[in-house]
Amino acid sequence: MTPQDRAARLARIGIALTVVALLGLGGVYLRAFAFTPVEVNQGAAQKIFYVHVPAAWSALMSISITGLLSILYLWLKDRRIDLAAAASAEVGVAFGAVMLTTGPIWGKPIWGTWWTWDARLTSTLFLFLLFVGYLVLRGVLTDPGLRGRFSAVIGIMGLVLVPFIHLTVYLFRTLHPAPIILKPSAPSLPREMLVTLMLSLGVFTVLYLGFVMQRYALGLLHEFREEELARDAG
Amino acid sequence: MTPDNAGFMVAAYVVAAAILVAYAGSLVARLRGVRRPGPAGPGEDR
Repeated sequence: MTPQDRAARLARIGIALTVVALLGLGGVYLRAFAFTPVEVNQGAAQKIFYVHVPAAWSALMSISITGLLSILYLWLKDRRIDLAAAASAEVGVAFGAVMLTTGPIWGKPIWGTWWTWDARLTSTLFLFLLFVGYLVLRGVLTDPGLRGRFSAVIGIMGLVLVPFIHLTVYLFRTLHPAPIILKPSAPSLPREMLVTLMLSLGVFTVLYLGFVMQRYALGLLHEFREEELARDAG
Repeated sequence: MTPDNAGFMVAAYVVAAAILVAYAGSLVARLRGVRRPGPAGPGEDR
């Protein structure tokens, strides 16, 4: 089996996982709408929680994995690691877009405003824009070594920001609520809500895997094609 | 009294699904494009 065939197979597995995850997302929507109780104080808008929190989880996981792969790339200088880091970064931006759109839609009916420049929201937006910059940078740099090194530095900056973003709700006065799952004590949610959230977290994690596999395969196939074109031209 | 704000919930779910499905579609389209013969565009999928 040629490397191209392996990349194509990875892409097919990624597509299959994505289809399964999108069907699972439909199931999560159904459970959230019809089989999860409405929270008394916030009303139906509280159910945005079941997409907003998993999207935030997936975005921060993607960016953390990009950061770890960036460290590994600077150490080992393997271009496949750089491609994997870039794949995770792009997927992180997609999940970040979900997080940053569903958050304000939830904020408006509950806080009375779409947006506030508090520490949690501002630092999250900064991280998102940093990774948009990461993708733009990769698009304009033609030298693979330079592209890998520069983007790895941004990837590591993102990794450093992730724990800071998690702690902003404890360090600063913010409208954003403190975590109800990722905290030292037990999750403070009724069981039915917790099950819906866990299902959604699982579906988003599978979606992350499906997206990253496809995006990594895409990077590999693109490199193979560039090498072929260079050989033909030479 | 529980507030009536289901419209916000529906909007958030629609927006989330639209972004995720659009991204999934873009990946499939780019994978098809990269297998097609011919030179790649500048800055594509690096």
